[in-house]
Order: sequence, then structure tokens, then C-alpha cells
Amino acid sequence: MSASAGNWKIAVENLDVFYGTRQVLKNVNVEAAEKSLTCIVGPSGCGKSTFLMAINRLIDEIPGAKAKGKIRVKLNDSHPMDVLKLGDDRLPQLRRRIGLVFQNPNVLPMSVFNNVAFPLKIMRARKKEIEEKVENALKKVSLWEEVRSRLNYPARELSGGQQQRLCLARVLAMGPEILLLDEPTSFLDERLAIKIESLLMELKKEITIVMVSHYLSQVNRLADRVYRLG
Amino acid sequence: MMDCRRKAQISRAILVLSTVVTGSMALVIFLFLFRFSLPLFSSGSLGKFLSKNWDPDAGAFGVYPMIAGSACIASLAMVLAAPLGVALAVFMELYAGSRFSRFLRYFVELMSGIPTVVYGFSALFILVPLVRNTFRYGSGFCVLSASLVLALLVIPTVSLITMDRIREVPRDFVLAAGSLGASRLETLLRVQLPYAWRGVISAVVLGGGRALGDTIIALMLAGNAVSVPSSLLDSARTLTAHIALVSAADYESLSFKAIFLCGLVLFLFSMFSIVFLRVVERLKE
Repeated sequence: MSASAGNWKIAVENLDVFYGTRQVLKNVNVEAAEKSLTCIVGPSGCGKSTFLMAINRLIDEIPGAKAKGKIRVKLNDSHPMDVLKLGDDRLPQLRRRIGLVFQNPNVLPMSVFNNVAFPLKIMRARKKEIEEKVENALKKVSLWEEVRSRLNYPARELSGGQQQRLCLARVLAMGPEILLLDEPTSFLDERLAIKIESLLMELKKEITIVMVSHYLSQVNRLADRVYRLG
Repeated sequence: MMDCRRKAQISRAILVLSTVVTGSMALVIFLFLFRFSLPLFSSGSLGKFLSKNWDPDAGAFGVYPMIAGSACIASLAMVLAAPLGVALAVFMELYAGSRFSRFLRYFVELMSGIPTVVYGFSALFILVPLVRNTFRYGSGFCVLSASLVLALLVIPTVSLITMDRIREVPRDFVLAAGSLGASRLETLLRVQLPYAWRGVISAVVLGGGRALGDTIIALMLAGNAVSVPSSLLDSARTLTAHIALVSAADYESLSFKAIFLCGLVLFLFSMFSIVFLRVVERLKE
């Protein structure tokens, strides 16, 4: 399938991904419209997480991984580009604009505040701006009230659900144009999951979201388009 | 035929015995050094042994110049080796590419396996004349020559340990930092090195121990003058070289006891290094 002339933000064409000699994705074609939420479903181990990591080329950080095909992305101030053809020097910039939240919350070995501030510090944001963005991001994911008195505590001391929301806040603080979410509510209870779902419904009015989910009810509630892998 | 339980008991006994023998060796050596240098402490003449004057014929046995020589040479070696060793580890990890990195690692491992006398012998013909001709001062057998070669000797220790510690940083952290737009260098500087800093300090301290404890390079290149060096181009004698050079057949002589004092100083330095490492390892994030 080639990308239609419509309102696409991401157009993945004939994507193959290999880990060494093992092929984990074969001829995947996915199109995500701008300001929409696209869900990827499929059985465990079918390569859903790998698919997300291919979109922002994080797959390059995995030894032996190789992607073939086309992943075309339209970012706001540039022409459509095939991310698989980007040079290594452009990857950090690409990943700031295509944020990825992992399935397992992988907080960095630093404080709660510094986890959210990490991408902002890399972007050389000013101290005041960092403080504001950290607070806003934590408020968006309904975590601010829980951690405002523990901002300097190690992030790994938070519960699994808090860590997962922290990871989402960290990516939102970057202000990405595209958000890749891998099971973003897997560690959350029902009440918090609903809050995050509401947040995603709000976010998709502004940005493009591609989400992996195992929960069919969640997919039905949120997705504008669904693709099945495997 | 012995049953399994009996075999397990024998294996356990052998392991416990090995542990006790190995562990007690350090204690035995310490007691041995302490026993032979004890008369210096009890006679109240310790101050005399820590004086600047070493002249056995005149009854002067001050080992301070050797302590100063060791400190100068090992410190300068570490000032050079620590940043270079860490930089080499960073280069191998970040920029060298997997094949070249593997090749470099083999090379660095090979460097760490070369006998120190080979370093010393090579430096004798290459570095010493170079230092002599470059600075046109002294014989070239000096603190600088010994420190440069010791730094070369220690760099593999620092870089290999540092590289291993960097690689032990969980992959998840590297992926998380990368996904947030950090370049590989930023990931290394902001995530991997801060996480692995205890390991890097361990590498530097272990390297320092090796620099301080090496005998042959200091013996061959430092010039062995019994005086406190006032410049990098001055000759100096280290504690290890001093132990090797002093010949004393009389167990009761003060020369002999002074050698044991040198050994005790070296032993205590090693012990403090290990204690320091343990404290660093226990420090919280």
C-alpha cells in the first residue's frame, strides 16, 4: 500500500524488521492520520513494540536490529521524510518530535524531577521553563499531587503505576508531534486508566498518536483506526 | 562409595579452607610487617625514620624521600592515566564501532599483560633520551619519565574496568535516554557515567594502587636518588624501588627494619584504598 494523498502523518510501507537473522516484522503497512489515534493490536510477541521503535528509529540502539522498507513521516516544518534514510546525527531531533513511552516503565536512575526534566535539559531549556513544563506534564498525567513533595526522591521509589505516568509525563514535556504509546495503561488501576484515556482523547486533538494495546474495550473507545499485526 | 552428603561436606571443607588460607594471607603479611617494624614504634625512633635523611653509614634511616617519591610518581601517573583511561573507554564504547572497538579492547588487554620490565626497557632507550634532550636538564632518569611509563601501564586497568562498568548500565536506561532525544554522547555523560561513577572511581583507585605498587619501572626510570623531588625532572626513589635496592643481611639492623617500615606504609596505602572503595560502593545514589 502506498501512502494516500490524504491527511496522513505516518505512512509505513512494506516494513520488514530483523533481529539478526530472525524476522520479527514482515511487510507491514500502516497509515496514521494526523491528529488521530491509531491502535496496533496483535498477539504477544508479534512485534508491536518493535514496530513502534522502528518509527522513531530507536530500533537502531538494539544490537543486530535492522529495518527495511519505508517509514514516511510528515513533521510540521519539513517535507515528508523517510525516517529509515535519516543519518544518525538527525536521530536525537527526530526522537524528540516522535516521543515513545515504553510498555514497562523505564525511569532513569535519577530523581522524579530530573526524569521529566531530562529531555528539556538536553534541549537546553531555561530553568524556569523546565520547572513550568515539568509541573504541567505531571499535572496532565494526574501525578503532580502525588509527587509534588517528592520531586527530589529517586524515581524508582515510585509505584509501578506512578512510574508509568511519570514516563508519559516525561515524553509530554518534550512537546512531541507524534506520540508512540506501548500499552500505556498496563500498570494502572481502572480509575487512573480512565484518566489517562481521557488525556489521550484530549491529546489526539493536537497530536498524532499510535498506540499498542491489548485491551479491546480500550481500543474500541479510543481508536480512530485499528491495525492488526501477526 | 561416598554418598552425596559426604562429598558435599568435603567440597565445603575444601572451599572454607581455601577461603581461610587466602583471606588470612593478608593478615599474616600485615602482622609480619608490623612485627619487624615494631621496634621502630616502641623505641620512639619512628620520627627519625620519617626524616629526610637516608645514610646507613651515618646511622640515618629516614624514608620520607621514598614516601615523597612514591607519592609524586604515582600521583602524576594517575593525573595522566585517569582521564586518558576513561577517555579511551568512552572512545571504545561510543565512537570506535563494534569491530574496531573489539580490536582496541584486545590491544588494551594485551597492553595490560605485557611485563612491566618490557615497558621499562623500551622507555630506557626511547623515553629517557627524549626527556633528556627535550628538557636539557639532568639525565632523563626522573619523576616525569617514570610517571609517563607508569601512566601507560595503568591506562589499560582504568579503561578496561571503566568500559565494563559502562556496559553494565542497564540497557533500559540507554533506550530511555535515546527515546528522549539524547545523543549517544549525552546518554553516556548524563546517564551511563553518573550511574557507573562508583565503578570509574574504583578503576582509578585500583590503577593508583598499581602505580604505587610497581617496582621495576620506578627502579629503571626514576633515577633512584634519595631526595625529595622538587621538580618533575628530578630523580627520585620510590618505596618499592627502595625495598629492592637496600641490601641488609642483619635482621636486627635498623636498615632492615626501615625496609619493613616501607613495606608497612605500602600495605597501609593498599588497605586504605580498599576501604575507600568499599565506602564508595556503599554510597547511595
